[in-house]
Amino acid sequence: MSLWTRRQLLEATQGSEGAPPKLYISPLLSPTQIGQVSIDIRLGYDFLVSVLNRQPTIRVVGDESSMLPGPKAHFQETRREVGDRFVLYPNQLVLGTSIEYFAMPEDAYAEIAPRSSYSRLGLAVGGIMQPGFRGCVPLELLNHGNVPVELTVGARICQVRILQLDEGSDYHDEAAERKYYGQVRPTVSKAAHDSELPLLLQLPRVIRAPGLPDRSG
Amino acid sequence: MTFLPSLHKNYSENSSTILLETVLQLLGEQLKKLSHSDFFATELGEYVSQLCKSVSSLQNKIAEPDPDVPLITEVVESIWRATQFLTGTTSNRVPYEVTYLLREVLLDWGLGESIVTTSVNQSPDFYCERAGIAPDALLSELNLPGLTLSGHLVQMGVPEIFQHMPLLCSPMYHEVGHYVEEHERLITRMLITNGDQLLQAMPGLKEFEMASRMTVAKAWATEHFCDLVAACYVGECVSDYIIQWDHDLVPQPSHPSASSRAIVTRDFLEGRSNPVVDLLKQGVSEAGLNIQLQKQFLLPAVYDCFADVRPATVDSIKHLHGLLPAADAFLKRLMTSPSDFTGSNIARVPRSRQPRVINDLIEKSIRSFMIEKAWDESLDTKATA
Repeated sequence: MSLWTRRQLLEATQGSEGAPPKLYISPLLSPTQIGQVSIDIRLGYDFLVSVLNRQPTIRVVGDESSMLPGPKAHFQETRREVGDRFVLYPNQLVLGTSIEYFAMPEDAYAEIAPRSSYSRLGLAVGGIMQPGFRGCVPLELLNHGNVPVELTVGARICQVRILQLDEGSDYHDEAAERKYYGQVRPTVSKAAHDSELPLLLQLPRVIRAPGLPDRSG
Repeated sequence: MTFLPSLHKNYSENSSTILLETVLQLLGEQLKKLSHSDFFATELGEYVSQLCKSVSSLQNKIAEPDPDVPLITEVVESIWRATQFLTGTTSNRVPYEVTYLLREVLLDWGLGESIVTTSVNQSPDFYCERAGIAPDALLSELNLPGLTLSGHLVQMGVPEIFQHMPLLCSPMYHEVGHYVEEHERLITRMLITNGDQLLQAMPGLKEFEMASRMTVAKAWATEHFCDLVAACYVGECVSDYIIQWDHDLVPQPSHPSASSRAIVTRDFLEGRSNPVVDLLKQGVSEAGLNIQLQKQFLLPAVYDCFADVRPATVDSIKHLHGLLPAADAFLKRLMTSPSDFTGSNIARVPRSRQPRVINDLIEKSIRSFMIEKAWDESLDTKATA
């Protein structure tokens, strides 16, 4: 596994010798976004802001038949224009995306990290993009500081580093199961759709199995 | 349900003004809250301020002896509706991408000075209406000032469930046609100059009594005109939407049957002679506008991009409008002939998710165009300075 350099990033995004680009990024507003070993990405215009409501917890139990509200109930959508400001409050989770839409090659994956200028303001962002990923980069924004931070929509807040894999993978073969495939705006957690959660719910409780004394009460 | 009309329709000397007073108080509070939202462009801020003044004036009028309650009620309804759209605009949930396309249409029709307010609504209806304080006739009867803004105010509304489905918002192009007609009165003028020809061009009118025939003719010609305005920008998208939604084969006084509308649209797009199309084209041509009733879109190449689940790159406004019919054709083919896409990445997306994914790609394509254009213009301005 090796880290793509500026030359490789430029070649991959521009295509060479008539071949289509290996890495698709759009819109790439400025060539200066491509650095020596990373690509700066910009804060997008759609947000899901976490809000408190009457539900005491976010339910991630995998019971799809339940009518109780899932993670969606804990987030509120808001849209902005590029150039608008967006205030990130201390300890508030906000789901956003990059402006840029990525189409990753099958033989590389990407790591997302904040730019150091934003880390110094208390902003934490992280994540990866799988080989073959399609969509705007999901950004889970959290302000670790104790002062609200005013962000500008469209500002370069994160960077993406791309790592070459020794062999290709088939991400698209799993497209049916990919929960965030082709996303262009933030999406709440779909952890409750994990197929093993219902199984876990039904798993026999061996400690409190019939015949054994129940001392939980 | 509209609550207020029953109040003025059944108005009697015993009617109380308590409800009106309360509604005005509530609207005043809502508008004040909006004026503090720090969201609006200058013109919209001025609009809110003028609505606030109108509310105050109405409150004074109610306090006068023997107020004209029915008239005041109508003005209150109008202000209420305007407030709803303003609130929608501040909600930050509107489909900016569709609004952007429609603003371009308004620009083409000489209505570029328009200030657009948008809301998402729970009903399946689309709106594009002129906004104001209330109809001028009402205002002058009550001796209230009208709007003194430079530019036209437009209220647009789309169903909330279509918020991120630009293809399903294509009927807005038809609604923009109504707004154009409201401004230009093309059909009214045509009925005066070419009334007989227009009546002959729509033989279905014979089903209606003589007394109502002219009114029906006006309504039908207006619907055909709006369909053609939409077809200029998004081809058959709107007539397809109407056909799929409106299963009533019988023409109504308010509109011709969906099938006859589709025929007119298709004849227009395919350049076939059709008396309705020819008359409407002539009407627009004679109106002295800077636009003709003709195709205003170009179809961008979307196949390679959408098949690979990537947004399309569009480089002109004409291609941007054309994105909708091109994507519509792509989606229809994907849903009806999936084998044509075997081996592509879009084919691996479950069928139930395909319309959503294609609409997302359209939305992103439009938004990327908007951002790149604004970015380039900003760089140009900087370079010039």
